[in-house]
Amino acid sequence: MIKSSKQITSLSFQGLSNSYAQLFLSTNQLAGLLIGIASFIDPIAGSCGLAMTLLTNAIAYLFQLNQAKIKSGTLGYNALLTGLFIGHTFTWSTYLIFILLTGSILCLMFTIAFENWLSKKNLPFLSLPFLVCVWLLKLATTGLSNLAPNLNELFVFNHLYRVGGEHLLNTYLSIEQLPIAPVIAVYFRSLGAVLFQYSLGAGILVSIAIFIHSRIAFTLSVLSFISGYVFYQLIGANMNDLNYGFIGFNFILSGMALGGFFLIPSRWSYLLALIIAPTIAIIGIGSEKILGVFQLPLLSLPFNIFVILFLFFLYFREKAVFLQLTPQQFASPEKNLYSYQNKSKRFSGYSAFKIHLPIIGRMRISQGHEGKITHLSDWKFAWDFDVTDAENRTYRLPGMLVEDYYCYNLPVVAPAAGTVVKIIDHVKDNGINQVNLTENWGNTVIIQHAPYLYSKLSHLKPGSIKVYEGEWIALGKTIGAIGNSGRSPEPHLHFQLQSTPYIGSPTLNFPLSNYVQMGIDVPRFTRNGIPNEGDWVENPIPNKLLQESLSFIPGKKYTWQIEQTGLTEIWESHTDAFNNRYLYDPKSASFLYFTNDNLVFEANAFYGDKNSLLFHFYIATQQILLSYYPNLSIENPLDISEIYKPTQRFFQDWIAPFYLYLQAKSKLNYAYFYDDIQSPKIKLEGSIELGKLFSKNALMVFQIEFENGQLSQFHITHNKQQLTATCISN
Amino acid sequence: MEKLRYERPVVKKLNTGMMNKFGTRTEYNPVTHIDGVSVKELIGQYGSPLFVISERTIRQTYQDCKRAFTNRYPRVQMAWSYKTNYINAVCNVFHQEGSWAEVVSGFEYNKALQNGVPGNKIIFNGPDKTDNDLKLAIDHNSLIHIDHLDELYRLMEITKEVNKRPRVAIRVNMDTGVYPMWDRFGFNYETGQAWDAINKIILNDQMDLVGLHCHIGTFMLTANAYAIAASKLADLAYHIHAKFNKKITYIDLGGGFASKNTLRGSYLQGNVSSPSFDDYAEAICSALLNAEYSKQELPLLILETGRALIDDAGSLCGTVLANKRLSDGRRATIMDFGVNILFTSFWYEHKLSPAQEFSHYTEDGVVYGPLCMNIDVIRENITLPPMKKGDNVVVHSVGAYNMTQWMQFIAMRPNVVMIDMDSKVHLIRNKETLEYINNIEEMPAYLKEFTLS
Repeated sequence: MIKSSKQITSLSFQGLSNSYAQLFLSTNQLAGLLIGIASFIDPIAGSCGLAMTLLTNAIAYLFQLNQAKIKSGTLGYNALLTGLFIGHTFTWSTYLIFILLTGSILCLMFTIAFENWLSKKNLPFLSLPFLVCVWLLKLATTGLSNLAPNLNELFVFNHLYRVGGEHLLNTYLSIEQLPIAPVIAVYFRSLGAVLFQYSLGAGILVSIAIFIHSRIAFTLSVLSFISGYVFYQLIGANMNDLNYGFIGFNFILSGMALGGFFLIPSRWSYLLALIIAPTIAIIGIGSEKILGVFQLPLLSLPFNIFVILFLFFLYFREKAVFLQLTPQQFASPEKNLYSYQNKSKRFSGYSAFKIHLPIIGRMRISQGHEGKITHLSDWKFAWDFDVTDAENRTYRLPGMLVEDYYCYNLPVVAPAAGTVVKIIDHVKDNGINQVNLTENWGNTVIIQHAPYLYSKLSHLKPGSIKVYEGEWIALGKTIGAIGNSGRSPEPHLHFQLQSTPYIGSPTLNFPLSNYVQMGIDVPRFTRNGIPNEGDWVENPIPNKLLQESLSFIPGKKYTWQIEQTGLTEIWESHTDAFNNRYLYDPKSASFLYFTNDNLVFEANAFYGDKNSLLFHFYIATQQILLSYYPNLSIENPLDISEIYKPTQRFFQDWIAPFYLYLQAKSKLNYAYFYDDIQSPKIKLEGSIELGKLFSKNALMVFQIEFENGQLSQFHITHNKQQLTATCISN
Repeated sequence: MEKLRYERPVVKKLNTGMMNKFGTRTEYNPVTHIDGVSVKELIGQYGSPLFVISERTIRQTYQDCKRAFTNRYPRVQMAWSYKTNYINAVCNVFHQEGSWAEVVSGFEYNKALQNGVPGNKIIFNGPDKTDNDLKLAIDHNSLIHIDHLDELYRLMEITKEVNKRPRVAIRVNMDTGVYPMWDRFGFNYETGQAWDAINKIILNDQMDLVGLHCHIGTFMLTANAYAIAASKLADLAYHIHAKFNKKITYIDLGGGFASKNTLRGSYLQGNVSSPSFDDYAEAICSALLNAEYSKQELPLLILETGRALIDDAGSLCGTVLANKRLSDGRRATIMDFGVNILFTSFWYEHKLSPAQEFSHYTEDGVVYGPLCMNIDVIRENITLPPMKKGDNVVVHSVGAYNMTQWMQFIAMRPNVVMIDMDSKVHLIRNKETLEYINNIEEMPAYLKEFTLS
């Protein structure tokens, strides 16, 4: 709960500013301020909008609605629109206060109702509450003689002269009569129309606000407007609709919403912004006819219908090849895009259910997916495992018996927790180079891990199976031993995933998690992937020191002493209501969200001060395998919006949906390990590497040291500046 | 065409048995090359007798053993048992493969250090550790395996003197169901001696008890004994944790794996009766995985396997000195190597192969060494093809213990060569010379002169 008046002021100011900014899908404060100023070109409309936003946010606060939503303007922007409409329609009178109050309550309730109805379907409520409110108010107030219409719009010059004298009028005229092409003028006026400000100046202010907020949004606003304009020209429709009827902004807002807000900006979303005009126009012209019966204004209805309809439609795609929906909304097309690109590079192929290798130690994939021998057609997504020696033989000489084969009788373990659903344990081992085609899968265990996710392990040694049907088994439980039963000319393990519980079921293309490929120059860790034929793979063995050091048990505090500055930084470990875990630095109000599944630590999101030690830790520890392999190197791309300042990426922003020339990656190398018996020490070294158009350089070099069961030191060299932080207590 | 080789006639007792058109055949094939190098050339260059070590076989055997364990248990560490063969080149092959060092004396300890093994990767076993040895081991942070209470008491005193906390383990002996039970080393499990030592170490709080060690015997012909040992040690470790909240981070099961040699008096051939690495691994690893350790806290399994890793890699090349017939009619062959350098012939029925072609006729006989001592018998009973003076033989699987337990007795110890992965021969130990022996002798002045009349 917010207590102090300072906090209330901050809440109401942010709620207000975001309400203005949200009209153009932004949360940028400067943009909010500019839009706010623009809304006061017609002061009655502007003040009604302001009053109603404040009123609605105050009511929401009094009724203890979610403060985060007040703060983000989510509850306020429909009230703002309604207020602007009221002020635009009526002039000041005491009755108006009554209308504003009723309108606020009504608008807030509709906002809550629409939000809860649509959010269940993952859809935005946009300005639907505003439309319903405004139509009700319009119908209810028709013929009420106590409410005088606002005629400022009709008598602009008179009004301006009355308010600001000749000076203001001249300023206004100089702006309105700027020598610009009519099409640009229409663009600006359309933008102003969102605020019910029928003026070029308002439009210019709004377009500046959009430009400040986002280069992508600005481009999209222009593209979608042009497409609407051209379409109207082509069909010879009434241009006044664009001009006077407050229709044009429907194209602009739809383009901005779909091209760069609800969808990740891309060449496809830009194309979409260019071609949606006809559909929106049809919706607009059509619904105008219906609304006309009741003498109701069309307002933003086409935008609302089209955006919600299109998003709903997109949800039903079975595969999203293009037009990706925004997974996490940062209210900035650029940030959405950079974050999406980063996350999709980092987590592509991420499987919610982790299937590990069904073996202990290191084995060779003797046949991989779509192998040429037997992994064909319906059974192509399978792996065979065996073991070879330095001479590449799978057996000790002479190799005439199954026992001569290195992999024979090695344990087979559960690749994930699950329930055993099927066992065959009676098929005899074949002699070498003989196959059993009648019981071709041989001795087999099938385990159900999740609905429609089964694993099957075949060709096991007869009598070796140590589990029973119906038994629940944990990950890594020994279930049997590798044999030579079934269609197996020499001992090996067949492993496949399938979606049905039968022997002989077709295979399922599902990735394996957290394996390390060995036998190459340096070990390679794969979070999720499909190991290839010929790869030597193993399940990493967790290292206790790394596990303990990065466990960050909730409630613990970590105090860091920074040698060069003498300052301390405290990290508190917390977990939120959704089980998300984060480190929090109270001094800089910074958050680092992370996951740790006891095998991999991943720093996933950061909010706060980028000068904090916590931020440096965040970019250094994007992904840490909690297992020590000498020379293991882990690379992760970084979100460039977190690394480059807005000024540095000004040009990149323009072309970001098409080409990224700015790059940043975090590299981590397992550099040093001393003794795992008593008091182990581990040092990881890494760097943040930047890639610009023609240059590459290291932004930062760091070392993370682990000792005595904890993180001990974090050393950073950044712009030739050294920073050595020592964890002095935890 | 090469001239047909003359073979002397053989006298052979006829055995009745199943008729067989092939006659009785020998198990022997001539072994003319070791790792692609001709035995005759080796002897020509380095003299006879000659120990030959195959680097390829060492690495293959090591990897075979390591794999058998790492494919069954996630945390495995091998430690090379120096006493089995501490020729530096041999040790370093093992160290290159990743082995730590396991030593049982100050001499071996220093050898390991000089080979470049970091002190914290040396395991110091055995009942004989001098004060200086202990101080050195503490200084290098080695793993000291305490053998008896007197050693423990001495270590406590030394710890106070040097003011450092050594890392220690205790050696535990126990009944694993095999005879003989090795109870002369370490502290007994069943009688509570082990707990006595553990209590003393932990309550005294001067050293860190980090591991448990046992070594249940040698040439163990049953893998199951290891399963019993492993589960007893794991049980002990679990209860140490329960009682003192101290984690035992490793379990060292010592050595004792049988090689493929045939023990004297054994009915079956060694390669049939000895368990394979897989058999040992299966027994040990399943016992450890089934112990009360949690999956996240599995102890490191240390193995000090010596014999089974090096035996097959060593061969002894020798030469026939003479043939004679004994009074009972048996044929005797005298070789130029005896029990002085082939100490293991006291235990094993070593397999011998002639190093040149021969026909399929064989004769029962005895193989003697060259020493002028009655005990110098290499094989009491052996069926060999007839060989002439100057012919060469290869004795197989002699890599373990011979090159450490050999004696400078009557004759000098011979050259040792290693054949590397590319079949190149390296001399890794020079044969001894008279100067070498005399060098360490001292002659009192009054004994220097004498006259014989």
